[in-house]
Amino acid sequence: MGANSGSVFDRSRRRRSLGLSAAAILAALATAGTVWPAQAASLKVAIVADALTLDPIASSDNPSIWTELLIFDQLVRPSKSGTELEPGLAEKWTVSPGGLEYTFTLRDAKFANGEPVTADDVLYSLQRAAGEKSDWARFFKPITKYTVLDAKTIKFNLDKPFTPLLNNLAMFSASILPKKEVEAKGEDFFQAPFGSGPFTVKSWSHGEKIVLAKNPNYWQAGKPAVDEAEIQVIAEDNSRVLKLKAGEVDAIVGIPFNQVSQLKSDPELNVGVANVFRIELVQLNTTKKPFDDERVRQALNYAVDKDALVKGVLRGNGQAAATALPIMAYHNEDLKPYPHDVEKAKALLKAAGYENGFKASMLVQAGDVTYRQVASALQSNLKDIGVDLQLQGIESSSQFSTTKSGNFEMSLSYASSDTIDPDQIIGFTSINPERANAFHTQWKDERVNALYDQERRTLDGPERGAMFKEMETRVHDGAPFIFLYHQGMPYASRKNVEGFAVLPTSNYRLEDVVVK
Amino acid sequence: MVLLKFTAGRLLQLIPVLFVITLIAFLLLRVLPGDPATLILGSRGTPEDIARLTTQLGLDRPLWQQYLGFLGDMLRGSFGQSIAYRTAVGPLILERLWATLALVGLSTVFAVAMTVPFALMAALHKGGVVDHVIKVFFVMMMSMPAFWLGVLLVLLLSIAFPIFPVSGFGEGVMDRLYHLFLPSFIIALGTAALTIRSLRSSLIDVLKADYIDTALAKGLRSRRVLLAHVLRNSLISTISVLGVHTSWVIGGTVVIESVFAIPGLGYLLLSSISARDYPMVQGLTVTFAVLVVTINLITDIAYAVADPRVKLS
Amino acid sequence: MSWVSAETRARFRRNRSLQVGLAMLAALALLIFVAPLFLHADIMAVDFGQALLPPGADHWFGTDDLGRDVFARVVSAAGVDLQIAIVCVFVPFVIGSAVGLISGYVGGITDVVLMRIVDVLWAFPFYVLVIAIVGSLGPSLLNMYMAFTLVAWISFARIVRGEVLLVKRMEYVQAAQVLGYSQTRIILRHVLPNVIAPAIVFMMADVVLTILAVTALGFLGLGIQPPTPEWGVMISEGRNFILDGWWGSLFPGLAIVYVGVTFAFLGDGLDDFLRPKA
Repeated sequence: MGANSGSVFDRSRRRRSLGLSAAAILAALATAGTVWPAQAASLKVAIVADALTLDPIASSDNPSIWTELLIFDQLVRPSKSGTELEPGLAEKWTVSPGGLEYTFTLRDAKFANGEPVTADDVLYSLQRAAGEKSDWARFFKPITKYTVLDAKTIKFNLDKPFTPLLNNLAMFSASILPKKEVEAKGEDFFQAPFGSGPFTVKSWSHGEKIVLAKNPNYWQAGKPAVDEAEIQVIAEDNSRVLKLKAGEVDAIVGIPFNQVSQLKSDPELNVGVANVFRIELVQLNTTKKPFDDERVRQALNYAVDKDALVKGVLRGNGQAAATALPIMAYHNEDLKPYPHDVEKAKALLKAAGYENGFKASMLVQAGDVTYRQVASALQSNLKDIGVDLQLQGIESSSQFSTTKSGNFEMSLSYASSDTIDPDQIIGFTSINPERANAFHTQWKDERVNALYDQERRTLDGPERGAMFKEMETRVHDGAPFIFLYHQGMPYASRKNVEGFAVLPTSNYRLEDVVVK
Repeated sequence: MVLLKFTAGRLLQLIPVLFVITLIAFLLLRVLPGDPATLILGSRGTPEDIARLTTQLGLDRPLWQQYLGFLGDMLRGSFGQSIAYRTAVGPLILERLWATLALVGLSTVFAVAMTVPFALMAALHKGGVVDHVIKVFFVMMMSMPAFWLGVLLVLLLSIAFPIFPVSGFGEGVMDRLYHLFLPSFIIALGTAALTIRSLRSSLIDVLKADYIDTALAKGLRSRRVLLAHVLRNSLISTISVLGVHTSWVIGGTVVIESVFAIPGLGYLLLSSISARDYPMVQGLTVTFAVLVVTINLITDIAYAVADPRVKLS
Repeated sequence: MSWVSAETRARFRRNRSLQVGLAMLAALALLIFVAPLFLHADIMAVDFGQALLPPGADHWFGTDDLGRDVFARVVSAAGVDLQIAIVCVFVPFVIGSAVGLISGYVGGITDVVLMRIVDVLWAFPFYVLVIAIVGSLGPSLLNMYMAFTLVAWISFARIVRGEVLLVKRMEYVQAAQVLGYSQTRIILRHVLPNVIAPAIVFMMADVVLTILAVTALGFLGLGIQPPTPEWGVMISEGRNFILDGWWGSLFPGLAIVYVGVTFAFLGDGLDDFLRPKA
């Protein structure tokens, strides 16, 4: 073999194989995009998890709900302050004095495909929401009769008064869908759905991002201000913050509390902490010993130093909780949180026959910084009264189904309200039997159940408010949970982004955001 | 012609291998203790939930029927229904395949670019200071957890000195190459640590070989000799060494994709596991194995092409 | 040390890698067993007042976000991680070596079947299989042992089988067969001692790879569960505070590198020691 021929042969072949692998990489990279991306006025928001579905009646996770609220309109919606309802698709509505008849007049709005929104679409959407396939049916079932009066007017009749109805109609599950499209496409419609809301789905890369495009037919003139909004999924808290700092995204929701003050001092960023309707708690399975004993549950409440948690974990961005209702309408301000009192807790345990404490396990969502810190602090607090707490990591996606199945002792969790009326969340956390049987604790109080029933038939006002306050007090005393705290929801955006804010209902209105 | 025959032969051999791969992926969670429906529901589901899911997954059928169903799903390209995404598994995997392939490709280029010069240097200075420095440096690289290096390099090169993006995959070819630079480099460091050692020793053998003496005897300058013979041989060895480590490199993408949030197969595997998306995990396991087998096949063919000493029969 | 031959001692004295490796291992063992005697820091107690203190005289490696001493936790995690790694390497070593011995010695159809299994398992990326198994079964120590055993034995089987094929043709084995010794005796007395060295050397390298995989599982939340200190978990937890407490992630990673380098030296040293080159 001659040296020269060998080297020529070798070099050409080498070049060719390198060229081939380079071509392969380029081809792989080019599959979902052009060589250089097109420029458009776009807003990039990073959140913690991907939507599981965009079908409003099948959603119960926040990312799905928040995105649906950007795509679909409801008849009415909560105001930005979270204190009242404001017109949505309905420009006005009337409720009969007895609360049995609701009439809505629709505004001149169009779906993203240019078709007008009609009373038929409303009828179809709400009947679907109250139908068999809906996870939210009981929120709309009290409507017993729908009457389409004309293309823009629809009337609902009820058999008996149902005060939360108006608020329920403001929920994502009451989204108004384009009847023709949904009927034609079936389930496939929800892979890239559109409605009459400010945005439509342009593309959805599962687990990565949802790209929303501006709805050109949106009824609010001049909105949205951006052509595109990209909801990126960045599960890791720290990466979200780093990407915001690096300018790779424009806004983020969910910031580790320890970084809030540091981010606030960054001149490039706007940081806010929203007061959301939310309560953090530990569910106690009251069907299992020793949690069947009220004294034990109270003892656990006394043992936990909530103020230390607010200070140490939340860095002051929240306040200790006394009961299972967020700070919202009718919250009982007179109710004080269980004080941190180790002696009292020990005495209660002794009275219940657990002088030497006990062993218990607690479900904790894996991978979440705040929950990890809280769980470690609880472990340390409960050790003081002789309770040996074992932590059991669990994926966020299966925590709810696990506690629902009843196979747990304690579970560190939270509840948040999608409406501005306390009916939804009290029904969820405190009523048994109801949708969640007192948030899976199986705790049951007949008086609370009776008050709930009564509240729903009482017209809104101070009398109804007093019922909520009494319910709260009874939940506080019965202690089916360790009540932890009400935490704020930190969010941040870059200085060139105006109007980005998290609302009390935890979602955000990207149509109001301006990128400069 | 010979090459064609060789390739065809290797492809034929692949058929039983692929068959067994599907069988193993299928049996994997069935031979382990606990039944899949209970595993999916986190062993905490109600009996009714478990019964419903058992029927839904077809777990109440005899094992051979389940396997045939699984094979059928695969041949149709659907790989079954994803539990989390509620659509067919196949297209979702395909959507993510490219990011992983690009990552593997780019890191291979980096690894080769590092392996050849460092191995050469080490071989030429066998037993010397350079050899030792290279050895110790890459032993440290091999012991370094990729996820840790990722965290530190992001802190250094994305935050302190913002040169590279923090994470993500970007838009368009150039942007994606840019996003993949750091993660590929980290994988390449680990791979190079493995390949440099083997290449170094094979180079030492090559340098002792007769034809080097022949070339020297022909009066060519020593530099020329190195380029002509040693590089050629080193490249051939690198290909074969890389082939041996393919499965290691592909495995490494799983961890690095999670650190840099690259929407590839590994990222999908982890999210499917936390969502207990059993059909997806099964489909991904097969995909990964097929990927390894395919890349090994390509390496074998490349090796055969590059080295005339390999008999193509 | 009369039971060690002078020749062996000389070989040890020349073997720099083995000396360094053993010294590093001894230092590590000393730290694991002795440090707890004078370290009074409670590795579990939460104290937000002491959170994220930088490295200093009181806390050599600083404190984490829960106010726990990082040094004490890194040392305590060493015990945890090494124990897992050793089990996860030793069990596959025994199983794999046994399979390799039988496959190589018996040959025939047994060999073909066993090696086909090994070949196909080889196609599954190590990490993918371990993550799929541990992830599906749930994170627990036992599941981790099981996953690693299922995956890691194939390397040992390959190595030992290759050696057996060489040794089988050696005169002393054939002589033993002619003398009519039992198969078990031949395998255990004549074959095994002559084939096991490469597997032992590989075991050292495998400890490095296994430590990396175990900590990666911890990092991904699929391994040891908090609050038990474990290096991968510590790096993952520290990552969330990387901007105001880089020490939380840095030191556990350095510990992993230390262990890796230790076993790399041991592997190199043992290679020279057990298989002296002509």
